[in-house]
Amino acid sequence: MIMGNKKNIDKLFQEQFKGFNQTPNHKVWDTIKQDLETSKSNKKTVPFWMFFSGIAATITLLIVIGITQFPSIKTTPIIVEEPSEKPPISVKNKNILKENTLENTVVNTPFLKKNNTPISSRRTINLQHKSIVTATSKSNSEKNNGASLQNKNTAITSNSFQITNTTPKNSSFTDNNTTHKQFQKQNKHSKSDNNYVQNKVITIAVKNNPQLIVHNSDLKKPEKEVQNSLDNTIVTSEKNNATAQHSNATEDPSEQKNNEKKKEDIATAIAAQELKKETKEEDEEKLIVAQNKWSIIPSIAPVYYNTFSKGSPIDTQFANNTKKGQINASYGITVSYALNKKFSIRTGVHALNLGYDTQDVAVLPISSTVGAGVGVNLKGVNALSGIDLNITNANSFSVSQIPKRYSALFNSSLNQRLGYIEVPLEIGYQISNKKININILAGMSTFVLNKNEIYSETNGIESYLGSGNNLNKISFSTNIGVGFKYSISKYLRFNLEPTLKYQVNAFTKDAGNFKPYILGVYSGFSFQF
Amino acid sequence: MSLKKLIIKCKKQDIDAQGKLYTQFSGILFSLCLKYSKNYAEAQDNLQDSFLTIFKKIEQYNHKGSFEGWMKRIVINTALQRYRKESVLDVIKEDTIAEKIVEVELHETPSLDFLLHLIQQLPDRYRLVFNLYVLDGYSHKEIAEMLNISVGTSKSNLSRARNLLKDKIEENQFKNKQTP
Repeated sequence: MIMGNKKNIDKLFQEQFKGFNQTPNHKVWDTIKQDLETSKSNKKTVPFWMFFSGIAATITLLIVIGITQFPSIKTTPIIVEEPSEKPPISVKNKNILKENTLENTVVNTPFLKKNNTPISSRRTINLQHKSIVTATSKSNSEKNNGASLQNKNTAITSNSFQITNTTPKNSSFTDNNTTHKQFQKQNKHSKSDNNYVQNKVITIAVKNNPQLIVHNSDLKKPEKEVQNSLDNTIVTSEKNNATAQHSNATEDPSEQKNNEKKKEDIATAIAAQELKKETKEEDEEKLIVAQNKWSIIPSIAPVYYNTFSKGSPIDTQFANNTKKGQINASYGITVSYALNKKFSIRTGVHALNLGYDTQDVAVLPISSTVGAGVGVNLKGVNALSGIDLNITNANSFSVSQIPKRYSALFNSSLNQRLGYIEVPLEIGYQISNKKININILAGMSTFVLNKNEIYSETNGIESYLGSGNNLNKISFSTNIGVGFKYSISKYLRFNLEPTLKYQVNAFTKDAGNFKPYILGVYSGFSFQF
Repeated sequence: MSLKKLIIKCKKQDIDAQGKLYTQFSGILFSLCLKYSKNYAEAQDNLQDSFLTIFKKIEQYNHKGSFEGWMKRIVINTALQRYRKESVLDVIKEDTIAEKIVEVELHETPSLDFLLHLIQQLPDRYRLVFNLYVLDGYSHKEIAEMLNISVGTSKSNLSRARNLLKDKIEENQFKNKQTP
């Protein structure tokens, strides 16, 4: 048997491994490079995503505002033929009433027909409502013709407008009521037959039964023309054929003139009065509408922060550890603007603190001689310099391995504390407006990170480790919630809004599969003005 | 380019500088990975993870102390994180194992590859303790802290590792003698 040299095994290995240097496969660098480049490009793609989502949100908002704010644009153009060109007039009134000032007027077919014959120009009137009558409407005139209007208080309904002859002697069709809106146009047109014709359409606002009065002052000669002196009176003129006068006029032209003047004075005086009333009412209406448009809601909310999925932004080894969400506070102010009865748009500023604890963590100190400068072995943490800790998943140890005196270290937790300034942009849709007003809220929030801290907690004592290195400074969330409003007074409401906010990109992609959400119950008093 | 400049560029995440740093240190760090890992493939994984951590944490390096030492600690830490999770249930009576010098009988000096292979074949904990104590100069106290074990366990693990290695080396020498 050949005897060999006896050698200390430690020395054998130490000698052999001295200067041991082995080049790794080049594939290793390729993988590292790829990883480094992906993490760089990930950082670059986020702003693009933000950019497009911002545009999408803006477009959506504009569309919603467009639809809700301007629904009355849908109009039915009605062409009314007129002697000369005039600008289009929008009329929102329901009915137009024709007032004819001709004394003892008998409306007959030839007259009305003649009224319509000299039409040479077109005039477009946009009308919002269904029952529209114009003074020169041929069909209406014809229908009127068939009705008995002679010196009787007879209501004639034709094509959904009402003509009531209230003053038989005047034989003028005056309305019983006033109308909502008025428009004014005073025109004078000379026709080929040298007759001056002045038609005045006086529209007077009526609260209950909106109607438009068409005042026709049909004059034989130009000098007989009666001017309407009231500034507030709205008059539209239309062409009347002077020849019609012959069939309708009284025997004595001078008497007729005086009568007409008187009647017109009365009519215009009534119109002026009604207009004043109407203006007042309209102003009041505007005030009422404006009162509820804006509201300011200072609110405070308990907010609960947790994740929908497993995963850990601190380190992948804690992906399956239990995460305990923290309940923190959010406070701020929201401004809401009612676009219409159903939709409102809201924004504001909120400050909020969030936090969650990763449990079952072993936080083990590293001796200064061995691990000085090693830092904290967590991928997602930029630890303070000078802290050297070995932090690991306590679930990977069996109980028997853990010396009793260290057991507390193995029951530690990692607590991530975040603070944000939040700017929400939400749309509210009212689904119920009874004693308790219920709204569905949806929108997005922009979050600006202003606090980013990670602590280790052992035996109830928190020690600051450092900050998370995989959080985005600016991030977004999609929000959905239900708002309950209880009216205390005309100006004061109590609000309660449970809202869920799903954070889209709070963490960078390398933060593991951590999908945080914020659940808050926002409450406060809203002040309406 | 000096190492300091290279580090500064790496802090700015300059990919070329990162490549140069890798070329300069990958050999020595890969050797470390090979010792601490179970096999070649895992050594590559550990090297990859280590370099990613180095490039991520390089901002924290404040030019105090050896940069190579700083990187080596990261590599060891990466390996420890991977293998210390795979726990072994030890029933050891502390202080019962006295540190003994283990001697191996050699007819010829075994090759580096063979010794590396033997280390890689050791159970995780034994391999870690042996590497840390024998090849990288850590004390039992330090190892105990790093691996979250007691000093006694560390000593016991080292003793078992030495004996296992001794047996393997001698067994191999015997085989070589039988098949000349």
